[in-house]
Amino acid sequence: MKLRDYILKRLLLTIPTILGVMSITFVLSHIIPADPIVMWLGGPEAVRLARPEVIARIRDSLHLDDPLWIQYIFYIKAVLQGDLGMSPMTHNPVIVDLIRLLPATIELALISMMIALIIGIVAGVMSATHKDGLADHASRIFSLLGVALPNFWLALILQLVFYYYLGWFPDPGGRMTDLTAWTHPVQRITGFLLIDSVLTLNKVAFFDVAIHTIMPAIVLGYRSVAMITRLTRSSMLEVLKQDYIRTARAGGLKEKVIIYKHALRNALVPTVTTAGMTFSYLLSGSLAVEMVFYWPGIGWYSGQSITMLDYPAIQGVTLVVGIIFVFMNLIVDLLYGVLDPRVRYE
Amino acid sequence: MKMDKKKESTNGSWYRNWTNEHQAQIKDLKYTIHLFRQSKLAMGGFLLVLGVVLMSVFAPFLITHDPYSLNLPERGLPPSREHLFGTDSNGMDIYSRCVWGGRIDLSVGFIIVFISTAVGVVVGVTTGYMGGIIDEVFMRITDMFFAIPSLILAMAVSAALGSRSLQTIMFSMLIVSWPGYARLIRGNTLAVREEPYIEAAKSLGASSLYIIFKHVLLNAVAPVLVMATMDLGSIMLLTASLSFIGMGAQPGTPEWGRMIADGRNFMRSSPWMITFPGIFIMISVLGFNLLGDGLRDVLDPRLRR
Repeated sequence: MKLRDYILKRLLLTIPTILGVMSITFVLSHIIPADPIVMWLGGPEAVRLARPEVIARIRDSLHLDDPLWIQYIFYIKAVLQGDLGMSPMTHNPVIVDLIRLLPATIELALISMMIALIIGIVAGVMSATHKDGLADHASRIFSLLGVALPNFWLALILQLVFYYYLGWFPDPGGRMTDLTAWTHPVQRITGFLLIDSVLTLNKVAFFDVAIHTIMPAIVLGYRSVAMITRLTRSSMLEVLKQDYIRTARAGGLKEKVIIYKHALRNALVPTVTTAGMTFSYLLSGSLAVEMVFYWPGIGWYSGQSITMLDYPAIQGVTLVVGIIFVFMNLIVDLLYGVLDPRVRYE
Repeated sequence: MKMDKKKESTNGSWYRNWTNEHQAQIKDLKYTIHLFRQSKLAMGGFLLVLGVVLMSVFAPFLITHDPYSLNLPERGLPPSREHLFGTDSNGMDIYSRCVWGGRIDLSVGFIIVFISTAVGVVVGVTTGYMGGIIDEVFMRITDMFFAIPSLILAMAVSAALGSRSLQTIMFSMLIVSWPGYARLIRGNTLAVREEPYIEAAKSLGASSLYIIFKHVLLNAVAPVLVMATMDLGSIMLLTASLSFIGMGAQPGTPEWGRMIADGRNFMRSSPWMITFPGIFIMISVLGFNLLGDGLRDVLDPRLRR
């Protein structure tokens, strides 16, 4: 199969998957026990007082009297137009809230991913080159803990130690201190505060945001560090066994050149592609981490929605995270197809 | 005469007969156990899991205080001989609550893994064995479940169900976890179905049911065991996370994630409120992960030698 055909086929295959995600959120929004009219008007009292025409109009606008499959079509149509319903909590369309908050989550996830890749690859190479040595055991324990620790607990413990006891990091209350937000407000261009503060040459805000990002990013990335370390280690060990490495050694190349130039490059193929998969851990991990750090992203938003029982918001978050996840998988698959031609023929 | 002969062959110890019949399998099992015991990490995981299970089973004898009883005058006490891990903001003994929490978290994990396996076996074998349109529909349905990260999906399902309780999150975790088992067993069934010995069994007149029970399911035992063990760890993490964000166990329940959520507002004055439940979560999850890793290395014939 040609690369172009493979990409085309893979792209077409995402359509049913995304339809599937929409079907799940549709089903979920229909098994909610709460009466949508009550939700919409803000309480049973309001329903009793409301004029019948008003209730009829709401029933009509929500298509409550239509059969289920018509409601489904209306739902798909609305979602495709970017209409995820109104949030009773913020009185905003859910999509507006999500667009406002998504950059914070994505910024955090990307920084975590960067930290995870750097630490993970270095630790993976170290433990592969020092197999069964001290570095190998240390990194094994480190990554075993990374998979076993609940991230919200790690976040609280780090807050306790580094904020309350040592005072090295600022108060875990959002992305910047209130004072900086007053004196050096960041003009919103992309929504990514770090990028925006660089673009507007806002040095004070940049450093404030950066230092607020470190702790949540480390907590969020820890699990991915563990996965990337183990993966890099095993693929590195595999590569180091190959004939061309032995040839390079026999040719008298320096060990450093062999490891970083010849071995690592080949060992990184599965690591980099699988890093895309860990993105799902970052997205779902951000749920609890953002709540603990009061990080104003979609994880924090869904925490608020759960407390307020804001159903449209919860379904909106599910849908958006699902779609991001589907596209991350698509990118991973495409990368695999480019890097490893065998995949295309499966 | 015929009767006598039959009696003779089944006479003596049934145990000896049984071992004679299954000599090969017993030898294999012994070798597996031998391999397992050689791996330090696997044994470590096994001991951790054993410890957590024993702790939960014998919890009524291990606790020093009632894990549910309020004792406001003794609230916020640091660890001491009377209260090993200190007391929480309601004066409840944290040690007793942590030990009792094992019963909740472990049984949630076991129940979910058990039901998911049962559902997975029925669905996976049916679709894998029948193939065709049923299989195709099944694959598309499970694809939908894999398209959303499990914590987010479990959160959305629990939210849609409305009530906040352990039962709600158990139901939602079940919805999240069964497709994994079904896919695993389906794949296994497909692979086994193509084997020559199935052809042979069929030509000897074996019924489909016989083939399913004797060959397909028996072959699936090892991979399902590995998956279930690993899954127990992740389900315990999921339970704790969902309870922490406020969906599962309600305030006051000695569930580890909930205890951390309850202790969050007091973490500065009573850091022991959050510290100890987290350690219990970590130890159990670590144990199941190590045990699962070890089982996989030992049970997968390709990794064996």
